[in-house]
Amino acid sequence: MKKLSWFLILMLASVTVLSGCSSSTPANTAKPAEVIKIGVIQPRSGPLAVSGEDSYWGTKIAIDMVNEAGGIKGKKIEAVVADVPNAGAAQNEVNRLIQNEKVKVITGIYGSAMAEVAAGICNRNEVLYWEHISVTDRLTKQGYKSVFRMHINGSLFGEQAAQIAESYAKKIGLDPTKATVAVVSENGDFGKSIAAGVDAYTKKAGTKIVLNELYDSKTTDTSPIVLKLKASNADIVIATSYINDGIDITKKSKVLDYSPKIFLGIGSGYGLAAYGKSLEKDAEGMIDLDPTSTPVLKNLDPNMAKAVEEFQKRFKAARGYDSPTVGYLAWQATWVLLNNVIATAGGTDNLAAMIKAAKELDIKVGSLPTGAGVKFDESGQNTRAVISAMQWQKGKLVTIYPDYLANAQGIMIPLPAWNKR
Amino acid sequence: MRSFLSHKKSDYFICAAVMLLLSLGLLSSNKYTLDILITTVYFCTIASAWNIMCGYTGQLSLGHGAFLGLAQYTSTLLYTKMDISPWLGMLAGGLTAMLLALLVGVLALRLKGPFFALATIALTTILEIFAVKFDGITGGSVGITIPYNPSLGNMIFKDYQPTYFLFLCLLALVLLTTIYISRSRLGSNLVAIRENDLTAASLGINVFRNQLYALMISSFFTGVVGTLYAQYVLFIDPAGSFSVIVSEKAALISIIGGAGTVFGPLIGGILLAPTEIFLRTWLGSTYQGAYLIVYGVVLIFVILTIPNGIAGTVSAYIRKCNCKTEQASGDD
Amino acid sequence: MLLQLIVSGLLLGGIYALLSLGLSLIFGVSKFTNFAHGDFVMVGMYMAFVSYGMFTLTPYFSWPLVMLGGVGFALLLYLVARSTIEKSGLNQILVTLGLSMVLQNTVLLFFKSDYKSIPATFGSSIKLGTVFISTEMLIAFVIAVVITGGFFFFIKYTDTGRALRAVSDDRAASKLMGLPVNLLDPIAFCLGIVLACLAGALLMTVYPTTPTIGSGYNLIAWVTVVLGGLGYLQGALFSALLIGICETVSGFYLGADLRQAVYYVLFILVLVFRPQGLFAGLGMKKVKR
Repeated sequence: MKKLSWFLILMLASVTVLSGCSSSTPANTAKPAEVIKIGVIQPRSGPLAVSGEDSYWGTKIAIDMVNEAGGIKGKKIEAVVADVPNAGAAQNEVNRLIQNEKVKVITGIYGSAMAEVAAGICNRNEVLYWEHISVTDRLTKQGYKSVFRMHINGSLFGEQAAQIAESYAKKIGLDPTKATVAVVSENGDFGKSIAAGVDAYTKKAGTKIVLNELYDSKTTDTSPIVLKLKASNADIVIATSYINDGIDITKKSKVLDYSPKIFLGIGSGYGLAAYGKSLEKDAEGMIDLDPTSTPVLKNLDPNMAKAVEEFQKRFKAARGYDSPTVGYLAWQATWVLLNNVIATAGGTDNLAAMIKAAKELDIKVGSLPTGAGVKFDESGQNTRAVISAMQWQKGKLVTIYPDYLANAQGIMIPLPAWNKR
Repeated sequence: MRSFLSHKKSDYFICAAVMLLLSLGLLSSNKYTLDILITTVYFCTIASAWNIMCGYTGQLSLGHGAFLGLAQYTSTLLYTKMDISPWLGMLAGGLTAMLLALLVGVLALRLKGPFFALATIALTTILEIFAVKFDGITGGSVGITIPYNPSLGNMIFKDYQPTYFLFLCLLALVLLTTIYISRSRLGSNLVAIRENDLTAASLGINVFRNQLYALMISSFFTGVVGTLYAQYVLFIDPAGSFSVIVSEKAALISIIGGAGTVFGPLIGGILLAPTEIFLRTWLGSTYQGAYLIVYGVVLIFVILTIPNGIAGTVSAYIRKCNCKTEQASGDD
Repeated sequence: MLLQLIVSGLLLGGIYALLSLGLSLIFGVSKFTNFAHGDFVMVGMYMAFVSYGMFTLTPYFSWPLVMLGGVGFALLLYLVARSTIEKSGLNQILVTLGLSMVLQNTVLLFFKSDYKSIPATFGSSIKLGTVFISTEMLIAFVIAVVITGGFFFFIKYTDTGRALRAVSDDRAASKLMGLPVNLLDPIAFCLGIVLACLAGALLMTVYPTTPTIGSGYNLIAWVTVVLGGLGYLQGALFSALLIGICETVSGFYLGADLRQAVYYVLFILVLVFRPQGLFAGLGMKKVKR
């Protein structure tokens, strides 16, 4: 019995020492002036790891590029990376980054649950939180002082998507008030946020929604959804999907011989390389609404264009494929954070200076590779984030809308029947 | 009979020692250290609650996430929508979890082995689907953010020490309950059922009713700790609350530590919860997923080599020593 | 519309049948509870992907490789889990949960997390009256039927098959009768896991894969096995088809986000009120002989 309790005490002591170690060592090394530490959180394991890893590389490449160009005011940037696959891990790792690594800026993250938790802790601890991917509206609606989101929020995303649908409807001679719209969305936070945005906008615009269906993105077989779309006989379909279900919806549309006049996909489901790869010629003409992943370099500022080109090269070398949208979002958000916020504030030590620098940002729409600009509103939401329409043409994604981002003409609008494609 | 019935005093002693050591953490003000401790105590508590039902009856529940999530949603909705203090919400959450346990018990307790486990997994998934579906009430898949208004009444604190203190109190309460049960008639009935339910029934033990009591007590504490954790993280969503993974962890911690012993889940939690965090911090930023490989291999190894868990194995060893010394001294 | 839904569901169910037959066999013969079954489907998908990447073999041609790999993984599972056979089901569940964690994350480490897919060979559909049938799914279904048929033939007419059935019926008695149970366990494991891997290879012709995809298939496999009645191989086959149909029909009429809930509720109801399975007592004998 005594032995057992000693065993326990030893075990516990070792745990305490271990946690003590990890808390004491970095504190000694964290002298100011040597490096600027930035916390990078992404889900690098677990079910969100697909896009989490792409986003991580976007951030990492931006930091590497700034460092190679001499850092910020002679100081190198050090990325303190944490794997955050769920909300509990967010609580733990964000506290570690703040308490032990003494970071003053944290950037992330793919996954809204983790973003919520991370943003809350950062705000309470007076650390700048720089969100670049999560879209749930609520993140910037809680009166946080030090939370900024570079990416568009769900309701704006939905609104812009509905606007794009409207403009294409007009193009093919449909009266927007008479056209019928079907909205199908995966039932996670991403799909739901966007569906709400689409719904709000179409109500205002007077367009009729004939089907508003949520589905579970882990569905193996999407034929019921496609059949529902078919039965609704809508002119325009707006579908928010992840990749497996996105591919399957397209496949099943072909199998069931279903082609609406306009089909607008949203999200990674229709824009990832895997989509083109597994559908090949069937992907032709499919439209994906997202910030563009095919920037037109000649429209960008020459310096920016060079940086973007370098990013594209490095991303491909690191991951083996062209950067998807999340890679660009992470890269440009980190790029702005380092070059426009931290550089202006002269480092990360002064939170007020960083917030001021962020609030004063005034970057024109179209300046960043995804076509976004930067202008934060009071809540910390970027009001100049934009989405674009991309289309699969000859096995590649090209941007067809809006005009200032387009590098190709839209084809197959309205969509022809499958046997005529 | 298993060791815990013959080692009552040692149970008190060991639990008190461990609790005392854990409470040393209250002296720290480092939020990261405290978070590790809170997470550890959180898992110790869930595992101990799980142990009351599953360790003592031998039924494998992988659905404690259902109780946890239901209680979290109950207390959070009461707090955010009706402004009812989480202190009451915690109780309400525990009670709704108990009601669910009653339902589960009546329907599923007669299932054995993998089928009880599968039924509880299915139940968790069904609740998750409903939490997503009925978004008018639950907020849907986007989850609920609990507004940060630190005060004692809101059970939200600026620092982590008060939260940690609450977790420790709850763990102590669960452990005391476990000790009480293991000494009570209920405890000996449960063990008799675990060892052989037919024999137990033939001795006049009401198998079903005893298991149901255990399940309800277990689910109550699972619900209460769920509320506490929700008030700590300040965010809940269906995927995180109704998670099969949390249930799996509770089971693994309990079984590796030694299911059916009072302090087994405590040992398991203290060993595994920080290990997972350190492995993730250490390997997570370099090799994707590598920490889970290490974790998985360790789990398999432990289960294969010491199937009775650490506490079971160690106390068996000690009993053997004691027997020898007793024989040697001729003492009874 | 209903006809279309039923046809789509049947095609899906054909592939599910392969998963559940394997699981049912291992559970029947070795009384082994495998909670990592879905992850072997995932492994099968990755093996098909690798064969395509290295030799540009579509799953229609790479199946011998997948089967070979499946045997390897089955032996791995057997080696790891051997000591828990005939012991508490609890430990079997926990060991396989640990194994599932290791498999998923090893694949993650080597293949990264992005979705892997191989291009469709046909990508067309056949129209029969008002019903459309995907060529890919139809071929997968036919292959699944052929494999299932072969499997039943093996179980019914070969000596090994008879031995497996005997052990499944009564393990202790089989031992007493001198059947080499220790040899039959790995055979059952191999058969079961190979079936899962083949199902994975077939799924690869239709769906992309990612390391965590197995968990979903794991639950589907268990649901079908329970619905079919434990150890009733034919029951597993029928319930797989039923689950497939249930998925598409409920997805259409009740809402695609409730699809899983429907068959889980069905699952719990069957467990509670009809634990012998949906088809028991309908003239079906345990592992039909």
